[in-house]
Amino acid sequence: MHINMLHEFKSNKIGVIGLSILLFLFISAVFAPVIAPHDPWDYSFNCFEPPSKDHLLGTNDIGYDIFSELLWSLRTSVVFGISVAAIACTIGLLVGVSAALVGGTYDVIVMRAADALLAIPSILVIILIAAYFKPSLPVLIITLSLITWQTIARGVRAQTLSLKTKLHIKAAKNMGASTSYIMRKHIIPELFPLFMMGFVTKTRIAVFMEAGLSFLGIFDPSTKSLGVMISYATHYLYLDVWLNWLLPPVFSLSILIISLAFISFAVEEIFDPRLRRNNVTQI
Amino acid sequence: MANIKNILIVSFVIFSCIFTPVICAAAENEIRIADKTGDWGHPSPYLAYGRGPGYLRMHFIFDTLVWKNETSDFVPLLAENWEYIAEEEAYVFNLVKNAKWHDGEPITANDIVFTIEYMKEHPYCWVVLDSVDRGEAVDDNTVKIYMSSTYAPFMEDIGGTMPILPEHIWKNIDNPIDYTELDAFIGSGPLKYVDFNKEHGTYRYEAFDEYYLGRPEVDQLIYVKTGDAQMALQRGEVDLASIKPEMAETLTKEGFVVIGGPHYWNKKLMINHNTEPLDNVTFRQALAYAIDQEEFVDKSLRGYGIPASYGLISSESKWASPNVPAYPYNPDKAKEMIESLGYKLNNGMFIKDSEPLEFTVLVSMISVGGQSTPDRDGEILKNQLEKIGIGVDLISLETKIIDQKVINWEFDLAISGHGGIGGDPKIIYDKVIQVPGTKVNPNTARYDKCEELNDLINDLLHEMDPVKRQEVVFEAQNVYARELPAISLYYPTSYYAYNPDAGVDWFYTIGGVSKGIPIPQNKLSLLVLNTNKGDIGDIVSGTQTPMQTENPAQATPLMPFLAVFAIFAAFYIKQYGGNRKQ
Repeated sequence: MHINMLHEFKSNKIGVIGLSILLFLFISAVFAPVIAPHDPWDYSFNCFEPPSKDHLLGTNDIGYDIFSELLWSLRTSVVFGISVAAIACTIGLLVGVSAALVGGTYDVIVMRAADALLAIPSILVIILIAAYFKPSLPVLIITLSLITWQTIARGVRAQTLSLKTKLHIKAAKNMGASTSYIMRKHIIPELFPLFMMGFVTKTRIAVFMEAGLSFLGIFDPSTKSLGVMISYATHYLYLDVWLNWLLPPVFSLSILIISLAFISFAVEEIFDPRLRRNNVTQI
Repeated sequence: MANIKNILIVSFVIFSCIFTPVICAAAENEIRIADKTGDWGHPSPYLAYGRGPGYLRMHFIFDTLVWKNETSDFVPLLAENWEYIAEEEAYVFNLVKNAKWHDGEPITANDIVFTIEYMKEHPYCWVVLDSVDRGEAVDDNTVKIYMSSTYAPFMEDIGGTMPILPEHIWKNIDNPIDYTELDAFIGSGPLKYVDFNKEHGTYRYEAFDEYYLGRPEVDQLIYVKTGDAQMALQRGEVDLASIKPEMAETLTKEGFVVIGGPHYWNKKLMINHNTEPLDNVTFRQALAYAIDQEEFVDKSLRGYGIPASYGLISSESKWASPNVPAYPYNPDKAKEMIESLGYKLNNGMFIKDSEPLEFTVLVSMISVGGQSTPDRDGEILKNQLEKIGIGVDLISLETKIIDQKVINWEFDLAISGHGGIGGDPKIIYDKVIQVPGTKVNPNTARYDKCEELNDLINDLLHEMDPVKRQEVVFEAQNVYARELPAISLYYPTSYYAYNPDAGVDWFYTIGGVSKGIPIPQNKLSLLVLNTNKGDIGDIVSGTQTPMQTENPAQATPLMPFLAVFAIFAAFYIKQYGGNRKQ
C-alpha cells in the first residue's frame, strides 16, 4: 500500500478526534494506579458522600471512591477490548491467509468451521460458559476471542485470494519464494489496512460486550468494570445519585466506543479511496 | 367545520372504544403484588419452589387446618375447634361444616386423613410427618390424628402448615412433582387458581365465591414480575411492593402505608463442612472471629438491620437464648486459631503443605422474601477474609443456581439466606438435619456430626412441657453457636409499602406466616377488612358478614353507552353537514 498513513490520518478530522479521545482514555486507564486518589477496593469511606475535593465524584453505596473506581474500570475495559481484538485478529489473520494460500480441503474445513461459528451468538456462549466455569477475566478474553475471529478470517481470505493473482506475487513465486516468505513479505503487509479496521472494530465490540456482561453480573462482583458500576448505580437512582455515579461510567463507555468508531471510519476512509470526500488520491 | 366535528367525534369514539375495557377492568377490585423474581413454581403444594414466596403463592389456594393471625395466635381455618387428648396422644379437629373444594365437592374428614397418608408416602418439603402415626375420620366433620411420638411444634408445623389436599383428585396422582394438570390447583382456600405464567413470572387468582369464611374482599389477586417494585408502586401499577428502607419516609408522605418487618430473616454463610479445613470446628470458629458482622450491617445494609445471633434463632424471638456464644470481631484471635491448625502465614496468606488457604465463595444476592437485590456481602467477606490471610474467589450466580450447587456440595462457602427464624424453634431441626426422603433444602446445613446437638434437636421436637422445652431450645442454640454448621451474618430490616385505597390492609405476622415466612402476605389480610385481624371468631361464627365489593364496572357501564351515542351523533352530523352543502 503506497499510502502515507500518518499524513492521511492527520488530515482526517474524525480520525484525529477519535484518536485524541482514545489516547486520553488509554492514558487514564494505563496510569490509573497513579492517577486514582484512593484504592478502588477501599470501602472505609462514608456511603453516598457527595462530590468533594477529596472524592471528586463522591462515594457509592458501600463507600468506594467513585472516581478511583471509574479509572480502574476503564482499565478493565481497555485491557479486555485490546486483548480480545489482538487475539481474535491474529487468529483471523493466520486462518484467513493460510486458507487462501493452502486451499483445498484445509480451506474448506477451516472456512466451514468459521461459517458454523458465525451462526452461534457469542453472548449466549459466554453466558453459558460463565454459568458452568469460573468466569475470570482471562478465561472470558480467550473465549470471546475464540468465537469472534471468523469475520476477520473471511475478509482476509478474500483479500488474499485476490492478492494471489497479482503480478508481483506471481513474480516472487516464479523467482522461487516460499509460501511463508510470500506470506510474511508480501501478503501480510498488504493486508495491514484490513487488519487495522478489523482490530478497531473488534476492540469496540469487545469493550461493549465486557460492559454488557459485567452489567449482567457475569464477572466476579469485586471486579472493577464500567458495567458493574452502571449495574449498581441503577439500583440507587431513587436516591438521586445518577449525576455523580451513573453518568460518569455511562459517559466514559460511550466516548470510548465512539472514539473507536471514529478511528474505524477514518482508517476505512484512508484505505478506501472511494470513501474520501476530496479526491486527493495517493495511489 | 363539519369535517373538524366529524374528526373530533370519530376520535372520541375511538378513544372510548380503546379505553372502555381498561376502565371496566380497572374497576374490578383487583390487587397486584410486585415481585422481582417472578417464577416461584406452580402454586400447588408439590410444585411450588421450596422457599417462602413459593409457599405463599400456594397458600392462597390451599387451606390448612389452622392458621396464624397477626399476633401469631392460632385461629380456625378448616378446623372449627380442636383439642389435644394427652392420654391418647391424639389431636381432635372438628371441621367447619360448609367448606367446599373449588370444584364444588364438600370437604370431609377423609380428605385430612388422605392428606396425611399421601404426604407420608410422598414427602412434602414443608411438613415432616414422622411423629404422626395415622389419621382417623371419626365422622364426616371430625378427624383424630394419632401421634407416634409427642411432637411439640405440631400445631405450627403440621396443623398450620400442611395444605389439605382433595382426596377425589390426588388419589389418582402417583407422581405429584410432575403433575401440572389444572386439577392440581383445586384447593379450599379463599382464592382460586386462574393462571400462572412461568416465563413472565405472573400469577393470577380470583375470589372463591363459596369460601366457607365468606367471599374474600378482592376479586382478583395478581403477582406481577417487575424490575423496580418501588417504581411500579409509585406509578400505581401495583398495590403492594417491597421497598428500599431509605424510601419509607417519602412513600409515607405520598400516602402509602409503610410497614417495617421484624428481624426474622437472616443472611447466612453456608459452609461445606465436608471439606478440609471447614470440617474442623476450630476453623469455623476462627472464621466467625474473622467476620465483622457490624461492618456487614453498616456497609451492605447501610445501617438498616442488626447483627445476627450465632444460634440461628432470631435474637428478637421469644425463643432466643440469652447466653448464645458470641464471636466478637477479632482478626488476631482468628489468625491464632488458624495457626494452631498447622497453617503458616507466608506473604500475608496462610499456607499448609505449600498449598495456599483459599476458598471459592458463591454469592447470591438474595434478600428478604427471596427477592434478588444487589448487595456487597461478597466484597465485604472477601475483604475481611483476605485481611487475615485467607484467599477468596468470588463467584456471583443466580440464587437458584447457587441453591443447586449448595445442594450438590459444589462449594466451599456460599452466601445465602432464609426466614423462619422467628417462629417455632423447630427451625433448628429444619436447618441442621436433612430429613431422609425429603427434597434437600438449600439452607439446611445437613450437619449430624455433633451427638449433643442431635440429642438436643430431638428433645426440642418431643418435649411437651413448655418450660423444659425452652431450656432445651436455649441449649440447642448454644451448642449450634459452638458448632457453627453455618454462620448467621445479619438480619436486614425489610420494608413493604401498600396502597391503602386498594382495599387490603397487609400486615406482618409475628413469628412469620406459617412456619415463619417474614413476608406481609398473610391470606387473612384478604378476609377481614377494617377489623382486628386477630379476631377471627367473628368470621367463624358467621357474625362477620362479608362485605360484597361493589363492582363499579357492572354498576355503571357508562363508557359503552357513550360510545354508542357518539357513533349515532357522528352519523347524524355527517348527514346534516352533507345536506347543508347541497
